[in-house]
Amino acid sequence: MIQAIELVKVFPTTDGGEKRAVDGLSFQVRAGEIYGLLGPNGAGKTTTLRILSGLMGPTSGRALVNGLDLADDPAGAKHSLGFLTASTGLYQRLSPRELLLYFADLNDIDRRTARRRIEELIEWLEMGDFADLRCGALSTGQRQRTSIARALVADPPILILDEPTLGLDVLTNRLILDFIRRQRQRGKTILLSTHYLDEAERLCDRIGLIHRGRLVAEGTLDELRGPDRERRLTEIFLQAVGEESSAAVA
Amino acid sequence: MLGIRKVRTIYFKELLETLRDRRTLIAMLVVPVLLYPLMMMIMVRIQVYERTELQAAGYTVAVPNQASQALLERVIEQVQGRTDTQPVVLPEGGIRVVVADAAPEALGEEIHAQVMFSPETTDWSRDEDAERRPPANERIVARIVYRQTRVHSDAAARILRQVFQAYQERLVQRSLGEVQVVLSRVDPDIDLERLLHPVELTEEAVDTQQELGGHLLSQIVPFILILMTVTGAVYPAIDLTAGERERGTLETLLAAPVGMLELISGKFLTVATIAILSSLLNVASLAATVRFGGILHAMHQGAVGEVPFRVLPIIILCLIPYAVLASAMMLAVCSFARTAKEAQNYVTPLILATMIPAMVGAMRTVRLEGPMMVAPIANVTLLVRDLLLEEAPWATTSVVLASTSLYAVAAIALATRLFGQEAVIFADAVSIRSLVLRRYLRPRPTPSAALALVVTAVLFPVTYYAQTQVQLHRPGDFAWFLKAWGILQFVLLVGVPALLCWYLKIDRRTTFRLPLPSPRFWAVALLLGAGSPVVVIELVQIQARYFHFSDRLAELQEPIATGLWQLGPFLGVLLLAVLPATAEELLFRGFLLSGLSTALRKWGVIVAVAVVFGVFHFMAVRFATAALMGVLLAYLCWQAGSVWPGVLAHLLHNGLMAMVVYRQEWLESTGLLSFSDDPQVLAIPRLVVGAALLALLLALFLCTWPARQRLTASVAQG
Repeated sequence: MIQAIELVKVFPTTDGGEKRAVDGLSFQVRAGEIYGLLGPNGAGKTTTLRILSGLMGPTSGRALVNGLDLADDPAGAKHSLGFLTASTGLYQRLSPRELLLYFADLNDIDRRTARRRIEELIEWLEMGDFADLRCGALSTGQRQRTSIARALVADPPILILDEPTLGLDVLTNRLILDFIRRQRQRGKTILLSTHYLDEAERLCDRIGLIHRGRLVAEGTLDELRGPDRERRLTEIFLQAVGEESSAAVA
Repeated sequence: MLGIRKVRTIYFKELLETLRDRRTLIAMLVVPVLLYPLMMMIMVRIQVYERTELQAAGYTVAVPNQASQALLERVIEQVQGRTDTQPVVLPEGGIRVVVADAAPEALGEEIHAQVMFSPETTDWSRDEDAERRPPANERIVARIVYRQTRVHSDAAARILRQVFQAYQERLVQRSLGEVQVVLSRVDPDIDLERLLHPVELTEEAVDTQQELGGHLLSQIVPFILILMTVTGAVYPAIDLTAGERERGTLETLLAAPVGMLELISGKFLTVATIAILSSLLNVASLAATVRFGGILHAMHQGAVGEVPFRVLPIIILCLIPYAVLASAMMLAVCSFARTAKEAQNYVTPLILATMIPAMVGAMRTVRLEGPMMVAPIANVTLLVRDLLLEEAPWATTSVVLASTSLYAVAAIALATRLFGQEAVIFADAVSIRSLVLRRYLRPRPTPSAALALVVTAVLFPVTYYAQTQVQLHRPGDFAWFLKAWGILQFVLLVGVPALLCWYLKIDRRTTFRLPLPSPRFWAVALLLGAGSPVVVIELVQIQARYFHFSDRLAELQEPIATGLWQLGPFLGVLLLAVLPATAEELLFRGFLLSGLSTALRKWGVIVAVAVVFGVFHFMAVRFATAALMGVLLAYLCWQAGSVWPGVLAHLLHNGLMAMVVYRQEWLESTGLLSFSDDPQVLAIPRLVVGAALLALLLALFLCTWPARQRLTASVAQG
């Protein structure tokens, strides 16, 4: 459902040099699974997700969503995508309901279906109390719930979630995680990036560890643990990153 | 208690941060260091130009009879070049005094002012002993009739006023010299008032109330409207671009299935709507203030003046393209900004920059003609002024509107291009250098639509100015003009895009569509090139018949014919046919067509290229024919996948058109063409017209043939 093939992204830096934010990254997210993309800050997670959601073009390599190459048919690929980041802003002078309707229109959903879908989302995400307030007046948790509803309004088969629980309180956090699980049960394909490794342990079917723009380990949690079934993801992560760093130094 | 140390710490930290914001600094420096001196320079130049222009002009003053003529000429002669009185600088073009009965509405263009003397003044001047009569008895009672709404009439009245004043001084000096003895005896017969004021001058401005109203409005309204329309576009432009980016809503929007052009178009329409509403409110408010606020009354010392309300709808109509241009410019600038603060830094110089052409447009002596018709912003200012004075012809209006629309489209395209740049969207990750430094640019097969449109839009006024400068360099030397312009045009139209392609790593072979076509397109080119001149000539004559464009055509043809005779056929064909055809084809059907084809579909591209090609031919008279040729040539280029058949067709067309001028007699002798008594009317035998149309049809058929063949094949298979 999502395929990254030899993705490379090189940025010119302000000092006149270049930075390889993504360096030959390849992985695949299968239909109906939650794939966790984990890595330290600056590992290239956000850049990868931006490429896979069509916000950025790769310097080389291909990004396929639902079988469509984002370079060839960006609109077609985006129709099957829901994208959410922690830094997502909302239109301050629109209410969540108006905002959801706006994005439903942009996704070419007819008004009737859109209204029905919006009511469902408001109910699922417990947004009834604030659905008609202006977004500028919402709390962080309410804003994140609105953002999630926005990503799902077109009912896309694929979700790309970049740090969806960053900075949320415990209650909203749990609500969001439950919601992500429910989406998997509904057959959605989810690519998730998070800093919270315990979240990844509980949610993800498969995990890819990324460091310096490259995939350093990939598999199910059990595959990553190897023979030691008690190993925590943190240890696996540190080991993989450490090996990569040592190899780079050597 | 105020902690000085902490204040100092905060001060230095804030200063450090502010000074590290390089973009703010640039905006801070650019405005005072560059823009203000530039604005001052331009203002001074404008004033000098206006003064020089009025001083260089010649003025015609009408008087009712020969006695008045003799008197006025004598008055002028007496003050000319004198140093003992207040010096009068007479205009370089002189003052011509004619005997004519000028109606008030005729004052302004041919006759600038009228002088009426009282009967006793002229009686006295007829007196043969006038010269010997004691000057103390000389008295002139005169009335200057003029129109203050017409710049040259107003200037003529001012000059006459100075002349009479100087003459009065002279008379007083003479009188005082002669009568001082008499004065010392206090002769009661001497009328001191008459002695000291021998000239009694009155003035009468004969403008109608509507003209006065229009004149006053034309002085202030264009400038205010231009400024307010731009200002109206500022806030939404910032909010919808940099504001959206700053609030973090842009990423989600870009992740939705929306094309960048759709996104910018929607945003642009919002900004334009608000700018247009702002224009409308400004026009309405200004009209109401002028009408009910007593401004006209105050300005014209008692004359009431009326607002020419009937021109208001036309002004609004003309402001719409301007509001569109202003919105697109604002959007383009703000699209480049990453924060609202940064956008404001860019917008301030832009607003000030729009004031420069608006100021030029506020000049009374500048006419809306020649290069001024295509000067961005200045042309709209001048058009609004002329509309208020009810002096704007439709042909000029159409050129202004067409050129403004072209600039607006280019600005929208630029906004689209900038808004989607990664370096602008993801300021956290990507340096802005990636937009401009060659080493970061990725090779591309063709330019973007934005680049193609912006380059064409910039080349439009540049070529116009260049052409005018070449013409002015050696006035009347048409052979030199054809040579210089032929080369310069090629450098501008081909050199500039080619250089850009090199820098931006754009493939020149695909961009200019240089591969050779299949052989049958050469046949299409021959048919098109041979048939099109006849159709164009017929079209020109229809235009001349119904739209009265013939005078301008004659003006255009004369220098070409003269230049051609001087150059001879070989150089003539090279300069009139080969060079322009190659240059125009490479720019329009190469660079522009390739760029537009990245954003539009086949017929959208063909029509857009044709319209721009039509607008590029400057004068309204040539728009229709150029646009028609544009459609045919763009279609040929699209079908052939090559620019070369278009070059052949174009040069054949140009060559044959030149031949009509150059080999007029020979063509008549062959019976292909005949000229009637009116040199504008060409009679082409029906057989020739029929053959030309047939050639065009055949060319079109050959051009579309493969598509038909494929269609037939697919139908057969189906």
